[in-house]
Amino acid sequence: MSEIHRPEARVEPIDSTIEPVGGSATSKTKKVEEASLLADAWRSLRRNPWFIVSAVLLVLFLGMALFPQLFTNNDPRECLLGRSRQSPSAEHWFGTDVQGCDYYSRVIYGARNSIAVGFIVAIGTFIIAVVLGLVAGYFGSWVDAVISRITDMVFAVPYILGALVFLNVLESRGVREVAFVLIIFMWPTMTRLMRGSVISVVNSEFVLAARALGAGPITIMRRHILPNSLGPVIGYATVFTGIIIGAEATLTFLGVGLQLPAISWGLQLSDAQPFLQTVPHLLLFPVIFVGLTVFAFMTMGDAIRDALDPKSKK
Amino acid sequence: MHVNKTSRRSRATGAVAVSAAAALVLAACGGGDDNGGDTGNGEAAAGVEGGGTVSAYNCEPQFLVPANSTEVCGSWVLGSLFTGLTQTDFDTYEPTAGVAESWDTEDNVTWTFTLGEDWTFHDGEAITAQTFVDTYNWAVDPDNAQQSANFFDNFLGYQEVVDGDAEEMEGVRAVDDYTLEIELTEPFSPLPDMLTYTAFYPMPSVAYDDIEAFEQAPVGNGRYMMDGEWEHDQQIAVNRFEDWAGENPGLPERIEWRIYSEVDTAYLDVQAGNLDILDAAPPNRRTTVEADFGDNAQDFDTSAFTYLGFPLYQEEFQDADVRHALSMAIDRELIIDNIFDGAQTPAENIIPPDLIEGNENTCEFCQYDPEAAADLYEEAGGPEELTVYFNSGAGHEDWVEAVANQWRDNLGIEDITFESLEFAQYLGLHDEEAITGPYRLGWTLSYPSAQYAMEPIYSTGASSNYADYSSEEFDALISQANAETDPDAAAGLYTDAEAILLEDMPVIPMWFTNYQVVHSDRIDGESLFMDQATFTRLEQVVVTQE
Amino acid sequence: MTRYIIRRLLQFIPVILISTLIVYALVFAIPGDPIRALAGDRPMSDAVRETLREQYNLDDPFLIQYFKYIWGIVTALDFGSTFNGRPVTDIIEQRLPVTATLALVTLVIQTIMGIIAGILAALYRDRFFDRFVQVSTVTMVALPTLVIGFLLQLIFGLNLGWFPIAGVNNGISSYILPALTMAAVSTGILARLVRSELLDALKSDYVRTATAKGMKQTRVITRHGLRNSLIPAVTFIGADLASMLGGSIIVETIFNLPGLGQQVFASIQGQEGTVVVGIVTLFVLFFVVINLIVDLLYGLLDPRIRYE
Repeated sequence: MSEIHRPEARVEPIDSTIEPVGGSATSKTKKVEEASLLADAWRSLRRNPWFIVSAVLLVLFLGMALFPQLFTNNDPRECLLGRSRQSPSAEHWFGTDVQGCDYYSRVIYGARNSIAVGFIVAIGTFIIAVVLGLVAGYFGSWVDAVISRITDMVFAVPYILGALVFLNVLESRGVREVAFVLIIFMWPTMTRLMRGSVISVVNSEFVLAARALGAGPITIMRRHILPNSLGPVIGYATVFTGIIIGAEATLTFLGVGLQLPAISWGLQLSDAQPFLQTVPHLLLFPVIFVGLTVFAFMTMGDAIRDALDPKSKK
Repeated sequence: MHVNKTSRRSRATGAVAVSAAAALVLAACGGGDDNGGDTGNGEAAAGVEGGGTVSAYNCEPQFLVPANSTEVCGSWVLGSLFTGLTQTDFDTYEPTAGVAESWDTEDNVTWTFTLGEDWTFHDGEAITAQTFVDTYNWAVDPDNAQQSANFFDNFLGYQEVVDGDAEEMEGVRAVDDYTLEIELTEPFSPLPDMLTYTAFYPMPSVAYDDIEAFEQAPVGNGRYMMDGEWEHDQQIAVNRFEDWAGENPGLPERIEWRIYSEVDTAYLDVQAGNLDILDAAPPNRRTTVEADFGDNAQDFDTSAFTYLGFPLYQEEFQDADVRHALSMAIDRELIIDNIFDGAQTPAENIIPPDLIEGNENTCEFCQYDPEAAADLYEEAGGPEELTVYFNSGAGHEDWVEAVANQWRDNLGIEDITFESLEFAQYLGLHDEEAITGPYRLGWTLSYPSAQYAMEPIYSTGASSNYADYSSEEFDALISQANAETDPDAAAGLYTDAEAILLEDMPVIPMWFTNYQVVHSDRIDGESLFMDQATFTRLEQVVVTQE
Repeated sequence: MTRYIIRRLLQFIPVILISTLIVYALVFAIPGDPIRALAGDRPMSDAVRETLREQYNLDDPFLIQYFKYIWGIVTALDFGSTFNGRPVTDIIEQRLPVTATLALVTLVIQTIMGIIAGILAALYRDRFFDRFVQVSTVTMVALPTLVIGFLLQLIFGLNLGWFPIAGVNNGISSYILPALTMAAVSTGILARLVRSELLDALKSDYVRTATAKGMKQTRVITRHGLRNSLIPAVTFIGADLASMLGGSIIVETIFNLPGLGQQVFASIQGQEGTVVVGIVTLFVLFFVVINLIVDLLYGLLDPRIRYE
């Protein structure tokens, strides 16, 4: 059942079982090295204007998610049908929505659920993808075969089917439930990406060298493969956060998204679509907010990657 | 037949992908009868005027076998392919001649129908009384599992056939070639109305040999005959049947139903001139229709009724005052204006206004009066928490939310939650009586009769009585009306029955849907007409340009 | 190599068996009675309901239903039928070409546009084009698919009249707008992947050496830089192809394309297990093949990856 076969991988370094993971005599020096690596990274980050921009944006959005009342005095649930679908004005900066609620405060309050779903799902899938991709790519052989074929199977199940089933069976449909379902069905793409890039570095000179020097698999994966293979996954994960916020909107269309009276960007996007031509601001404002969030995550991801990338340390 | 056109409507509300499926799953409605006789084109007579081809938006039908079609998409097509014993005169919504030239009854139990002698199917097979005997018996045979079989449940001998104790219904008899006798188990004055419905169309003998093949290209006796097969998800094309034996044949020479999965797409296609008729313009387009279509748009009131029902099996809704207060706290006009851009007509009745019996009663508790509602609600000790139920993905979110906001503002109910479920699961909850708060449902008249607007939903133990409502007085009035042989007296009794419903208020009447039909320049807008069952009568459309 | 491929092909069998089982189980687990829902809120009679439930084996326990389904396939090549009696094989035969064309056109569009945009963005890093790619990616991600599709219909279909608004009656041009809609998000992601990998590669020793030795920039990119940078791109394209069934659900609905996505969604909602399983099985087969091709491409792109 051998998957991609690499003879080298079969040759277990003799002392790999002897060296306790991260607990050897050299661990202290390693920590120092890591610390200086992080310090370097931090130094270069501070000098990167895009990092500053994205960090400010993210702090802003997190503030919005945690303390929406700081950003608006209006109650997002105070809705008067008589003032439905008004254009932006001094009183209502973003106008009003179909129900006649102040749209600015709706959008502000929507940040919490949307960012929560986006963040939880992105982190969840990222962890799954990194672990499975690393293991599959590094060990190859039957480990890879099993993991890859499970990935294929999950791929095959349309996530809409999974969502319809799970979210209908679950009692309530809150952030946790929606995030859970999205994680379950959305990890395969990232996992395959991680596996692919692990495979492309597992045979590099530095990995071979480390192995020859007797490093154990966990050490090799952590110190050599991980930093060199995270690039594409991070790049994807930052965009993925935005995709998830959109997926939440899709679930809402299908009638299995967050349940009313929840407020979220996804619900707003989906409510606004029928009014694309007649009341475009209903779509415009959540799109701008989702866009800025994605932009912030993406730019932040790029900056961190550049800062951490061993290859750019020349 | 029943619910909804709402399904069609849902796509309208921008419901995306949902709509495709919604059409399949939720759709259930329809009623068709053919005819369309009347209105101005009556003089067309046998001479056959008109001509040209009309293309119309449609959703993918579920079934194209008359007794199995329970939704609008299929029933609309079947209405052109078949003609039943009776048809509806749309000027008066009264039954008129179909295959049967006349009918007679002494007691509303035994009915004698005299058939016209010139009727044939599209393949030339002659239609006799025996044709109907065979079709009706086939439709109720449990082996054939026809969904509309229970429309025959008041025919004498229906139960025996269902139970397997008899092969044929005792109550359907061919006296001679052109005399059909139908005997019922109890008096039922709206029978001629009911016979206009899709389930009662005759089928040719070729259908029984291979019903699946038949369904792909049904051979009927209606104004139009299939041209080729049903092209799934693409189109259904029919040509005028020149030997149709009725009074007023179809005007267009050809009708093409183009099947769309997304109504917004169809809207753009009409705008671009690729499609002639879209009979359910999305409500969110109301404000742009004028700019997009100018005079090429028309509004029609229909019998598509939306209501909020109460689970009367739950104690907190058993007090009529609670129900009255909840109804009076809803500003229907405001919701219709702001959520639907006017695409509904506020309901102050249970019986659709277009029927003879409609608009006779006034609904005291349908009037918006927030102060009185609040007082009443407090006095009656209405529940402080509410869960509102509706089926998901069908465009009900916005208005249900608006109603909840009004209840909160006007009655001070702070804790209102929503339970939105897939239609199958939603109906399941109703069947198990597991609903704990007001729920949304709808009803469209398959055949134009006050009886059908009330008996199936509100009489004790009726199949669609989800509220579990029971009133001896109401039941008695319906029975009397069904037994009454004088139509005017019957109408009066139905009106009395409606008054009880409006007083007891087992459901809050919300509105009757108003449909907007948009069309291309090739069509004479004056000739467009939509009937109570939400079907645009394509057979009377005048094509002005080829 | 051949042995490797054969082994991979053998793995198809358990994968397909298990995934059909999962899908069947999921459809089985959707609450509510599909037959009950068929008739709407005017219920059909119990007799009819029972007959229909029996006809579709809906009263059997789950495993029995599944077994009957598999048995039908194995003994009679009977893939089941819809509730309105159409055989699943007919449906697939009619709809597969539509979805396949859509996927192919999408693939071509996003691959060409994504890779070219990625290369240019890397070469002109932090300059206008790079920012342009970034901003349009952000916009595409933030805009719901439905809106993208609708805008395309409005602009290129209705106003300019370049492409049909909907349907499949105009040959390949029917597929351009839907494919653009479907490719909108993926093109941006692909461009970003190519861009960042290429930037990495351009920094690596061998490319620097090649440049130092006087090789032309374009040649450096095509010969050295690009090839290695393509591994994540190829992986992503493979994975994206696999997820096209999900994407095609919405796109096929908006553009009224009678493809498999539309059908699968309708059947999920209608709980027509056999239809869903039939179509999904086809897709599993497709993914497994795609992933095999992707793995073989790894070896082609990076000679250090070998297959036994």
